[in-house]
Amino acid sequence: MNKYTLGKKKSLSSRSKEQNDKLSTPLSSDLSTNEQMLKAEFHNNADVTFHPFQINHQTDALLVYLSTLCDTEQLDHLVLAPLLNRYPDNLPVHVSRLRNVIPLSKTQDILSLHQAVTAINIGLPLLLIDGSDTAVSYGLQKYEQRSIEEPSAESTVRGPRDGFTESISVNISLIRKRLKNHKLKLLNMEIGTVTKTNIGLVYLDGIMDPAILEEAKRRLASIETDSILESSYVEEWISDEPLSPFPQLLSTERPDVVCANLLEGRFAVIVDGTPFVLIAPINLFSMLQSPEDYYQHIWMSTFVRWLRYVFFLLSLLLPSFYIAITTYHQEMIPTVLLLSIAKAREEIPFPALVEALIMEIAFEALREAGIRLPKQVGAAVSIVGALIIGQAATSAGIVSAPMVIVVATTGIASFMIPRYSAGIASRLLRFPIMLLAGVLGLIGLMLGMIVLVIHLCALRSFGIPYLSPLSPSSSKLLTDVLSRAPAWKTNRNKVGSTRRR
Amino acid sequence: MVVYTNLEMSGVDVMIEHGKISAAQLSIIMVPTVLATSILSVPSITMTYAGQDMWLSPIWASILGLMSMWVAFGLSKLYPKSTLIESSVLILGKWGGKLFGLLYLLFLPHITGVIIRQYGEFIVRSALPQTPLFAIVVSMVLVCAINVRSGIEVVGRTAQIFVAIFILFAAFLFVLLIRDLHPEQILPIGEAGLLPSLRGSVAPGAWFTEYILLAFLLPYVHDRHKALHKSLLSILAVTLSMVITNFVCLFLMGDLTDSFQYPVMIAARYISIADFMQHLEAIVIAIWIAGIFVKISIFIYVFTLSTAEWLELKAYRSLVLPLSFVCVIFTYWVATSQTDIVKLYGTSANVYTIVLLLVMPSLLLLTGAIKNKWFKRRSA
Repeated sequence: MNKYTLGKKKSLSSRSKEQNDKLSTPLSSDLSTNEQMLKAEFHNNADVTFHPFQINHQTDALLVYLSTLCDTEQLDHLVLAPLLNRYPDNLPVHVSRLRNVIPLSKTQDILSLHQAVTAINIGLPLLLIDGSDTAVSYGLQKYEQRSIEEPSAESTVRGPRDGFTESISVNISLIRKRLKNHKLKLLNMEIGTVTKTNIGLVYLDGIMDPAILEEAKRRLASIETDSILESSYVEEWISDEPLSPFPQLLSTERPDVVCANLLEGRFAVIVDGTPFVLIAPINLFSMLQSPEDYYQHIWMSTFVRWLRYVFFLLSLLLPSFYIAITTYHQEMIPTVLLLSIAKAREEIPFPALVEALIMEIAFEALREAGIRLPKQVGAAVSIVGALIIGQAATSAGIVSAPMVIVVATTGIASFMIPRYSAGIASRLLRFPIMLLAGVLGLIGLMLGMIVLVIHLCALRSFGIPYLSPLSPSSSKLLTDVLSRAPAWKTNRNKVGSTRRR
Repeated sequence: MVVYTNLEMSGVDVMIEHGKISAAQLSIIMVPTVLATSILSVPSITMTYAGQDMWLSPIWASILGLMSMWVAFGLSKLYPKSTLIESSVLILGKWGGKLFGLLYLLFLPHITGVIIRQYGEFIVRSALPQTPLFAIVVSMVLVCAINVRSGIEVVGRTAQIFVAIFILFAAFLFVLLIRDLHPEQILPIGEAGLLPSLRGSVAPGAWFTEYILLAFLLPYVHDRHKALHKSLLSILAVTLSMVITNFVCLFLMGDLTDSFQYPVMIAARYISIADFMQHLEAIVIAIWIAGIFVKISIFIYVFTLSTAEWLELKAYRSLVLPLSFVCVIFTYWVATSQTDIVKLYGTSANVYTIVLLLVMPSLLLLTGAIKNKWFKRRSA
């Protein structure tokens, strides 16, 4: 755990601390001094607006705000209008009296330059009054945000259709709406010395294992970075083994998934600016489960789960198995099939390993091209890909038809994994296992699998073994892995139970 | 008595493995540790001596396993926090104990070498005839070294997973063979009395004495009160597996069993599912590798841990790779060819392992028990 205390960007954070010291000078009671200090800080910021005016034609006042993040309409209506029209003539102007004039509950007293700059940065308008060393900020920021839509990366046939958005407050409200309980706790923190990203740690008090919670808090607090732009930044900082191809945090766009996991004693990390919420601690099997498993019939879910397990293994092993069998263990293939494979491979110049590598790499390239391109062009890519790889390459004698079938099956198998990030492991690990199978046949394949199992056995997600409840085993929790446990039998609140073993 | 407790306390402080396994994991580890290599060559050896009574031999042999287990638990009762290497120092004093430990530091790489060599020869002969033995041996030892480096917890968990696969597949295999079995081969039972089956039990018995490894692993079990019960179950499972294996070999090949070196592999060739799935030997070997992997891992682990304890080091992880390499060297040193291995198993190896894995620890336990009693009487 040393790596969390060893700061990578020490210099940057200490530099920003110095800056903070300079900024923490208190505000002056002279308005023009304050104005000059703020103008110096917001030098070259075209969207910072300084709006000077007079209250009761005698006291100078100043409104400072970011015109791009501030709701100016509301500002005019709720702050400026009362001050100009309704301020009692007989009273001297003072900050403490503003509460009785301005109809806004979200206000904050600002005492230092640092606070003032922070408030303006996040879009709060700042009101300064001559003769007062306290300024006031109002909660009138307005961000442009997209409305709640159906999550595009995780769709279900049956189940709720709302997905998270880029706004942390909307996301938290989506969770609160489902878990109407004060036990749902939210811890806020600000990470990133430059981006100052708002991050929320959500958990259910009483269900969450306190030791895991402490560990999560400690890891989040030890992040030392200048920027958090997506939850994957956080994921890399707080993973147990960031170098493992297996994700140790689940990312989801669905509030129902987050709620289900909170109820099972996990915690969620919500990062402002991204619809992807992180969930931990997880195990390998959470990667292979879809929320819909719990929304459809028990037997169907059990069947689909097993189908997924089998196809997960296929997506990892099928090309290697084909290479091993055709190169080393031809006797295993039934004679008729062997003949047709031999006939197909007769005019192929490459050994099976090279053939498989060419095809797998071509497939991965096609897939990547299809994702990154605009939708209109994406269709063209798949047509060209199908023509070249499926048809032309076979008739030109570069790859054999059975290999095309193997690669296509592997591709479909990898699409069966409901979590995109979990599919990455099988996509990447396929290649080393293929090489091993090409060198040592089925024995190489088995050795590769053994190394993989060793890695999975050693891997932990926030202290929870990655292969639990399989090993270390817990027969109660295993029910929901080998089948989909019926609703009246689900064992919630059991994540922590395998931690100590 | 005071001296004892002090020494024992210091033994607690220098515990070099921080991980713990459960009693269930311990008993599961022992299953492939005994079965993985015995399933290959033992049926043939047993057939030679016991004839059609070969299925009885594992039952007699299990008595040796129970004895080893009893010795291991006896030692662990005297010194619950110490492995065999540590308790030998506590019982025999510094010089005697270190000398006793040295014996095991020489024996463990030797037996590990034999196991790895058997694995290598088997793979070369039955799956990869053109691959150099070195590549096969080194790839396996490397994988095991990675496992051992990850600590006893990971060794326990990988064992749990692979044993499940191993047993499921073995059961599946035997079910598929039912069609070809001829149960009448069992007759006549006890034609020449019990002597042949007793003689046939020497070889499996030698394998059963590997249960003394419990003496090295018991200090790392977190639920000790379950250990005895689970270990007994483990011996039962191994005995049953051996009996079933011998039954299958006997019913399938009869008297011919001893003419094959690896009768179980011959049995695998009989499998044919709907004339489509045939010649499954390669898959059988691949699954068997999972078992031998657990066995080699546990032997390398015990060897590394013993060395670290003997040298009184604080950690053992850095020793894993060099000591695994030592085991590879022993692989070449123990035998020059496959025939050497067979000769070794058929003759001296059994006595050798029984002496080191059963007789010597028993003597150690005896000395410890006498010494303990004597001290108690003096202090009373």
